Amino acid sequence: MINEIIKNSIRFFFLVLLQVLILNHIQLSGYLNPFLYVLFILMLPFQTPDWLVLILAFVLGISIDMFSDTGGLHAASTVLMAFIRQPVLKLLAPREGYDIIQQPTVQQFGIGWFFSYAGILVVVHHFVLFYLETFGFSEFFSTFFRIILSSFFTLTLIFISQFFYSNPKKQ
Amino acid sequence: MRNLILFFTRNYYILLFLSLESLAVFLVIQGNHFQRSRFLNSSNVISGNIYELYSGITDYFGLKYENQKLASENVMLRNQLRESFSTELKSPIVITDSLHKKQYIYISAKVVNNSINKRKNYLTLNVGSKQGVKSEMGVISSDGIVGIVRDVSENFSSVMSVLHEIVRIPIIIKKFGEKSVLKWDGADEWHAKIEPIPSHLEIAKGDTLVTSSNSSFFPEGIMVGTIDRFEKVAGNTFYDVTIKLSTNFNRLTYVTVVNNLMKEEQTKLEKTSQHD
Repeated sequence: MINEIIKNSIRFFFLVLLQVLILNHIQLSGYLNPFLYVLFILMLPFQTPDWLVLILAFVLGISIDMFSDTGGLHAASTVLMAFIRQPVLKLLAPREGYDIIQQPTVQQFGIGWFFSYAGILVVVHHFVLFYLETFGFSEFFSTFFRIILSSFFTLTLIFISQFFYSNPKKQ
Repeated sequence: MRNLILFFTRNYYILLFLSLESLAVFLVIQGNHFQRSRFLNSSNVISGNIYELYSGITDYFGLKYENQKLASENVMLRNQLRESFSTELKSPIVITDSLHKKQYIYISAKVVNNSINKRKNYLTLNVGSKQGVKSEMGVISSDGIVGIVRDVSENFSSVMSVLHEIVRIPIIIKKFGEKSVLKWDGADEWHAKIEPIPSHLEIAKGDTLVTSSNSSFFPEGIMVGTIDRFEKVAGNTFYDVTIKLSTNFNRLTYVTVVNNLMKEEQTKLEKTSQHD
């Protein structure tokens, strides 16, 4: 339990710094912005209480906002993403339910499961983020294009990050 | 009363979500206004210091480019020195100048953070209220205009870049003296739009655009960019003009903050006239 808290706190600071110092400065043709920091919400253990997920999402988003001068843009999209995390998990639950000691990783649930889980949440997050940034649907298609490309980029980075997780059961 | 408490305990999750979400959206909307200074921005103590530490490391990668730029600027300044001109007059003339009053003071600053990939782009500078920087001062670089100061803390300031969807900068086309207004359309960091130009003017690709005297942020005649392409719109009476910005926002390192000493006097006067 304490171990989990320490591990997640380290992940929080690591992802925020990675995002604001490196990933925010990556742009390819002005369309691709990866937002890897949402990995923190994806990786929270199953037994995290719902209200805590919301609060952590808000703190995470507002920290990114503070560094990138975006008001509450990232906070708004991350909170909504955290809100739908529970329903998505329920939707994708295996027949026997989730084991409390399991973690939402590729190693434990397979590529297909993880792709649906991360895919839905990342696309929702990017959707809110980009449309709230343009503040309206005036440039619907160019924004939509940015969402698709950026989601793809973020998901690629998330999948790469999965290789860094060792599976305690197999060892 | 009991029902109310029951309502809150039953729906606490939804209520928590709604309050956090609306707080975040409120912060977004509040950040859309120019005048209001925001609570959270990149000029605060935590983010300012982390950015400064980081730029201390990454600066080494841009040293070669910066050196070239400084060297060419040195050459230009040396050419303007009095020693580079020979004078026929040997006895010095002392001029006590009561005719010219200093209007602009320049403060040198380093860019510690810079974004170009959003709709609202900001820079963070390592100068703040201690160095005399105030909100709404102009920021320029040796290549051209950079932006306008928005929030200031003790040692840092956050600047709205020209690449920001609400920034409007009055400019003139140098060749004709025709006035227009620059605004960024969010396309890329190299190009921007200006308000339509009447099509009777014979503009050409490469015409220079500079800041106009209408702007209280910048001195007159600071380089803005050149005309890149133009096409006729609205019944052939206007040109829709795209310009190439002269500032390279990718590589901004050293900039200059412009303090217009007469700005307050000007805006005060303009305000009183508008009341009539």
